[in-house]
Amino acid sequence: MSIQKSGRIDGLGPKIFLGSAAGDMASVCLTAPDRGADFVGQTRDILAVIDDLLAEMGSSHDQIVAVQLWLADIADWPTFVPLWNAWIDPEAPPGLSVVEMAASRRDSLLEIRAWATRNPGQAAQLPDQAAE
Amino acid sequence: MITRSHTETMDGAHRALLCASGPWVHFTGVQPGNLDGDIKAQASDVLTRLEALMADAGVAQRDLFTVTIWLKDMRYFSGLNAVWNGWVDSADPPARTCVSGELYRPDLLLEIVAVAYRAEPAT
Repeated sequence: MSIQKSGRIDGLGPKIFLGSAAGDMASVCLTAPDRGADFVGQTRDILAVIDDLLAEMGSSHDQIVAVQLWLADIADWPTFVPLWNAWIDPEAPPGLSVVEMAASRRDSLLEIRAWATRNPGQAAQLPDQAAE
Repeated sequence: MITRSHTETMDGAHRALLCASGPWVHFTGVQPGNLDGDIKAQASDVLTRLEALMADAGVAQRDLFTVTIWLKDMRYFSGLNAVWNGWVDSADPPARTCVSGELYRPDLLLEIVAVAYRAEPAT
């Protein structure tokens, strides 16, 4: 089975996919698509994209096992906590590591990578992959 | 089937230190228990905690697939390595990445993210 990729980004920046999956494991990593948003807005946007891409790859945020969070400013950590708790299941939370790290752009306030298990058979068939 | 254990909160954020699925075991954001120590004390402390988590998951040091160490400042690199070299099997050390970044509280000097692969998943 080949690697399934999801969330193609094309533009002036790097050409990348935000997500990829192989076997029963999927991973997604991104910064906020709208860098004009404040920290809460950027966080919500990123979590929504993670949900969408995991769904495309046959996973969901209930299946996340580990999250790496990078904050441009560690002072934003307390703001992240309630957004995180609302997104995960507090009774069955994933792992979480948080580190302050300079971002690729000064207007990117955070970056998140999530690792999740998946059920490859439930992956959404994207048009270009359905043809294969 | 995901197994999540050693749940705790970090400034109120719910998280599990150990999440396992099939052969893959994730140890995420493992921190020293006692932050009132220098880098060698905190490094020993966090490796002891990691070892306890590994024992619970049924994995040994040779089963570590990747180890990432987030270090508050690279000035602590030598102290970390001294402790690391005393901990690892010198004939078969794990793959390791070490990058510096400020951590969630100022007295925390390092945290570990590790992934292990176990040939025989625990039931």
